[in-house]
Amino acid sequence: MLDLSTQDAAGLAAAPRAAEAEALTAAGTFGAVLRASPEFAGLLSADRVLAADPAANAAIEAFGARQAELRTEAMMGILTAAQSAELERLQKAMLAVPTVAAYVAATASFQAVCRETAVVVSAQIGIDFAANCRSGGCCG
Amino acid sequence: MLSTEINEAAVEFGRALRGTPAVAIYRVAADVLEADPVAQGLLADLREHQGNVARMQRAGLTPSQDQIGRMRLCQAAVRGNETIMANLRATNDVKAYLPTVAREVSAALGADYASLVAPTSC
Repeated sequence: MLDLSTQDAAGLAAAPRAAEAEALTAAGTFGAVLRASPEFAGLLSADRVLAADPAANAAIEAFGARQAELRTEAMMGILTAAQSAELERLQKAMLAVPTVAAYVAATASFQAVCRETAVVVSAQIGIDFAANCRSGGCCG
Repeated sequence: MLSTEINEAAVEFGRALRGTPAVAIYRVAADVLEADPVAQGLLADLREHQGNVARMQRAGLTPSQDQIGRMRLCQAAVRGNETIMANLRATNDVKAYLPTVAREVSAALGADYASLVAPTSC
C-alpha cells in the first residue's frame, strides 16, 4: 500500500528546490541573452581596442596612480586646490583619448541595458533587484 | 529601449524568481504588512521618534530621557509585532537569496551584473 502522506511531504519539499533550479536556469538564459546583445559586443570590442592602445594605457596609468596616491586626502576631503586641479587635468587627458572615450561610452551603453533589465525584474518580484543583487546590499 | 529578446528573458527570469520560496514569502509578507494598519502605525511612530532624536543630535542637542524612553517603547512595540518581524525576516532572506541568482547571471554573462546595475550612489 502506498504511503500517500510521505509522498506528499516529499513532493512539497521538492517544489521549492524545483523553483530555485528553474530560477537558476532562467538566470543563466538571461545572462546569455545579455551576452549576445550588440551592446555587450560593443563593450568587448572597445575593451580589446583599449587594451591595444599604449597612449590610452599610459593616460589611465597616470590618472590611476595619482588618484591612488591621493585617495586618503580625497576621502577626508582635504585635497588642496592644486591637487584637485592635477587630478582633474589627468582625468580629462585620459578621457580625451579616443579609445578611452569609446570604452566609457560602450560601458555606459551596456550599463543602461542592464539597468533597464533590472527594472523589468524588479517589477516582477516586487523588490529592487538592482539594489539587492549584491551580497551586503548595493555597496557591499 | 530593450530588444524583445532581452525583455522576454528578463521577464522570464523575474517570473522564475517569483516562484522561488524566498521571493514568494517576501511578497506575501510585504502584502500582509501593507494591509496591517496596526503594524503601519507602529512603524510610523518609530520613524517619527527616530527622526526627532536624529534631528536633535544633528543640531548638537541631547535628547531628553523622556524622548529616548518613548523611542525605546516604540522599538519594543515594533519588535513585538509579528507582522513586522515576519516582514523583516522575509526581507533578510530575499536579500540573502538574490545575490546567489545574480551570480548565475554574471557567470553566463562573463561580467559582474551586480556592479553593472548598482545604483549610481554606489
